[in-house]
Amino acid sequence: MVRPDIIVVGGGHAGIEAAAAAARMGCQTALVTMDVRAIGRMSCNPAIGGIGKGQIVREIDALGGVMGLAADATAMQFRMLNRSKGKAVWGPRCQSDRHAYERFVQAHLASLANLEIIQGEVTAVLVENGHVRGARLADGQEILAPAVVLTAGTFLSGVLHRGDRTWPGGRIGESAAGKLSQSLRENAGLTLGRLKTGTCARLAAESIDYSKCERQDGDAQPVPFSLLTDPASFLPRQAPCWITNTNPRVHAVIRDNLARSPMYSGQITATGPRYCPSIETKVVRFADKDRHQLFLEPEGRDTNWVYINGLSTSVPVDVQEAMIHAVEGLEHAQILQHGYAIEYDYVPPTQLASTLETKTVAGLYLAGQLNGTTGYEEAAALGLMAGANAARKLRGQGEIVLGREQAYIGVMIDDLVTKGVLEPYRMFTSRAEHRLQLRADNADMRLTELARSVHLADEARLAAFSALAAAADRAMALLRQIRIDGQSLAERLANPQMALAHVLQTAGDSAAAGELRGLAASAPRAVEIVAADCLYAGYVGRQQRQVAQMTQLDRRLIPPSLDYAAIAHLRHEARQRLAEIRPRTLGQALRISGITPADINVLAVHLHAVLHAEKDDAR
Amino acid sequence: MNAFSPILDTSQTIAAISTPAGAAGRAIIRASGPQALEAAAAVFTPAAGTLHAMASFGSVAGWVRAPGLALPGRAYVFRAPRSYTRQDIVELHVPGQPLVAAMVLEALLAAAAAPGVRPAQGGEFTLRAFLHGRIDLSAAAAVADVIAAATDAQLRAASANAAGALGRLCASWRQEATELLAQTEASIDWAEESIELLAPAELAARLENLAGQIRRSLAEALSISDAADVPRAVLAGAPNVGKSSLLNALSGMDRAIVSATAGTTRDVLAAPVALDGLCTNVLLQDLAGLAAPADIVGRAADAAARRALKECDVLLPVVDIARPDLSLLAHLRAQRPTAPVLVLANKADTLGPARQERAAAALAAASGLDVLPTSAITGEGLAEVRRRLAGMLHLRAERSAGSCALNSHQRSSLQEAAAALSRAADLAGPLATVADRAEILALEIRLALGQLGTISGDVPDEELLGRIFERFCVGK
Repeated sequence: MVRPDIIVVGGGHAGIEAAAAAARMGCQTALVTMDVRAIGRMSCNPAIGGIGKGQIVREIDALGGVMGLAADATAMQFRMLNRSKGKAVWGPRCQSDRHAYERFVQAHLASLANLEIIQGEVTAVLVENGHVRGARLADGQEILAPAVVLTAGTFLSGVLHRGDRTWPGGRIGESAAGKLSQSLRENAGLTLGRLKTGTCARLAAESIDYSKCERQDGDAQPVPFSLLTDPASFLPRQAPCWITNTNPRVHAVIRDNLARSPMYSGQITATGPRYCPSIETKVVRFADKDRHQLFLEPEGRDTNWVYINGLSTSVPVDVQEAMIHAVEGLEHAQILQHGYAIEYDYVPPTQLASTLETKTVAGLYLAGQLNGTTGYEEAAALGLMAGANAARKLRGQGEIVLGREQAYIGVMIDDLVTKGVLEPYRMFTSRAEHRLQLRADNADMRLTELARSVHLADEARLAAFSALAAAADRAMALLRQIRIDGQSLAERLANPQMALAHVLQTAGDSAAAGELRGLAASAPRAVEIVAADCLYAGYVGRQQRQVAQMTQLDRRLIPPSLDYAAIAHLRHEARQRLAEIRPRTLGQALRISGITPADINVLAVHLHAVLHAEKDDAR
Repeated sequence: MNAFSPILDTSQTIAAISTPAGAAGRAIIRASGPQALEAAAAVFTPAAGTLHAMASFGSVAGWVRAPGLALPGRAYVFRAPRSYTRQDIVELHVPGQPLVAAMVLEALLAAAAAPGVRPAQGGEFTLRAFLHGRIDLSAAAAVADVIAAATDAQLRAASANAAGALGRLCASWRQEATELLAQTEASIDWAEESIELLAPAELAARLENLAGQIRRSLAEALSISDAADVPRAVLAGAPNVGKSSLLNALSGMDRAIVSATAGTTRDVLAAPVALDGLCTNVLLQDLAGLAAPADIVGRAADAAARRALKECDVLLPVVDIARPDLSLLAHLRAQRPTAPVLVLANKADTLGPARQERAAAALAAASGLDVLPTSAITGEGLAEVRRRLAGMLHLRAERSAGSCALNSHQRSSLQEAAAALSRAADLAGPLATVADRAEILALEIRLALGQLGTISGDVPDEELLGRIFERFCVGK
């Protein structure tokens, strides 16, 4: 084995992106996973994207990541969520063939130069003088490397729950990583917390009576995630999903057996996500609702497994069967795998820098669900940023930190390292104060230049992007130039009632209009982007005013070496919080809970003094 | 937080009340920066010379003027660089009544002669002293405390006697706005869930209602720059019956120059009076001594006095308890037939208790008006005057209940908040569903929340998700 520059621990969505990014950037990379066949596995529902999440997938793609390509290649159905609303909140989402997805990802990793995949369980991170030195495997073998990216998902001291039954595991049928938690505490000096999540039962397709369900088809004209996927030939054959509902009989079964639910018996104490509640929680908390929607999602083209979206549960097997059989269409459903809950260790992310490097151990990076997030997309984005930053640091190059105004990924990392988490963190568009600019359609415009400068984008991507950018520029010029009834097309598009297709149709028959329609046919992505820019042109200024105060502070950097203890006139509590989080900017400092505007003023005064002292020294 | 960046721009001129509100004695309005002299000159007229002509340090007596206000004061000038901030500083010393200080500051900030003067942030004078090397960091070690204190003082000055009222109002508005934002955001992030959204018409109505509440409070707020909006009581009477002394005693400051020489008061003077238990103030307008009823209507110079009498909410005729002028009482009543009237039988200290009572009863019988014996010297009857005033102004006060004094910053924040909410209401009204333009509605509501937050010091985002999870069953 070539001695690696970077060890990536874990083969989930975070590990994949971390390893691929590091390898693409030219680092010798070793991906260590407990089961090479599980690389790219979807632990929960077979879907990629969604509202807020789809934007992240687009950003991952723009940064040269794997997820968008894998999703496009293995999608069974594609829907643009929120399509009836403004483009800023469109959320691309696909149903994936889970086995095809795993195969695609595994083949993709195998094709990368500089990447070696090793099967084994990492039981310890090796740390020396505050620097990471490598990782130790269960068999005692030590792999040495100057950087380690840990993406352990839910595997750290994972415990599965179903009814009163509990057993250790990282995912159903896979064992947990028991010793690594201890190593993180003892060798890396990290504090660990505990979170909970869960998943639903899986059913056999042939046992479901779909005639009693409502059919849900994909978009007639699906739009792929990746810039590199040709929209024209994308997804020729889609599979439907099906919708059914719970009913009072289902709820009665759950209520009668609440005491046997680990969520309510006191067996599970960790916090789960409020936005992804178990069916038990929904029935208890929203007692007045007599039905909840369920989506039956096929897990692949070559499998009969069906996922019941909306029925996450950890009640005992007999209760699961009773409640599922009480659902219309599922009366005779055969359960292939029962739902369960899982508790696992996570590392409260306030212990991380914005590069996702731990503050305690240089060269040790954490990514994925381990950081307190949930979702494949969130995990993948963290993996990509951790892998890329590890590679940059090894070469003595500057860190890559995305701004909140630049990407959802920037919003997420800033939230994580600044505020920490109280429940598994999932992206929502409402978290992004720059929502009108952070659109799925313009992710390439926002991030490709950065990807190029840090060598994350390959030639094919750069070529595709320059064509896109040129077409967008030209389209915008034409939209501004062509006037109908004294109004430019750009102005017409500011009206949300004006659909792009209609504006193009009624653009007249000038040469310019012809050229524009030609662009819409040959470069639809480019025209969509500029049309969305036109729609929001009038609001972006207002949004900027709203966040201007914050971004001003966000541009004021705090030296990483700042000694908060020496700032005598800072409140004691503020000094402690700031020293703990070590914010990068004054804006980030202000977002820390418990930090007041007055603290920021004091800090600013101090920074000003430091700055002036340095200038004086220089003279 | 909002003023963090401007705070380091010391080329702007800043002004603030530098004494805690309610402090006895005097209040200080301080301005620092290149335009400090111009700004001060706009509200202060020296008895002699000009502020600009003053040497590196000096003080001069003169008149401080603000709309509806003119009173004696003193200006202290500290020329750059020999000042605390190493910039030009002017301090205006005025009687220590919070509302007066707030009125003067308001007028100074609004002065056309010195555009761009802005309210100082907490601790900003100290910050400038530090930034300009006037004090070193260890000397500024208490900056945190200074900031807290100064902010509080400004806040209290701005909200006058109604401290906390504005905060409570903003909190309730923010609560409703956050609720409406949660409804709007839920339609974006949980579009695939079967959650019931607010109907656009209802959202529009609630947004407009909220905007209306904010606008009403703006209109009813103790309007520092628009004294016409303050409930006013007028002290009126013959020369030398003690109107000015009463005004001073009731307002707790040397508002009017008091002397034993009849006719000292030459102007319509006003001073705010705090009434217990009411979130409002009253302006007592002391009409220049009325030698004869004819004087009021006859002299053009008394136009202001006449108008004050006509527009008052409560009429307080003042008579000498020993020599009440019944014909003047009748005349004043005729001038203002609908307003509640309370006759103050002043100089009660000159009579014994028994004679006081008889005199007051006789006067009440003769005039048909309520009569209350008072003494500006002993303070007798003044508490009762306040109590009765509060009662007589009840309707007015009720309208203003919960309103408060606003500084210019707060006023413009509230205006922007109301405007954003109205834009959102206009946008929401015609929609088929809130979801259709949810991202724009959310932007407008967030703008409003941000503006309200600059007053209350809160940030909305944290509350939002909690509100959504509490209200809707979301998650598959």
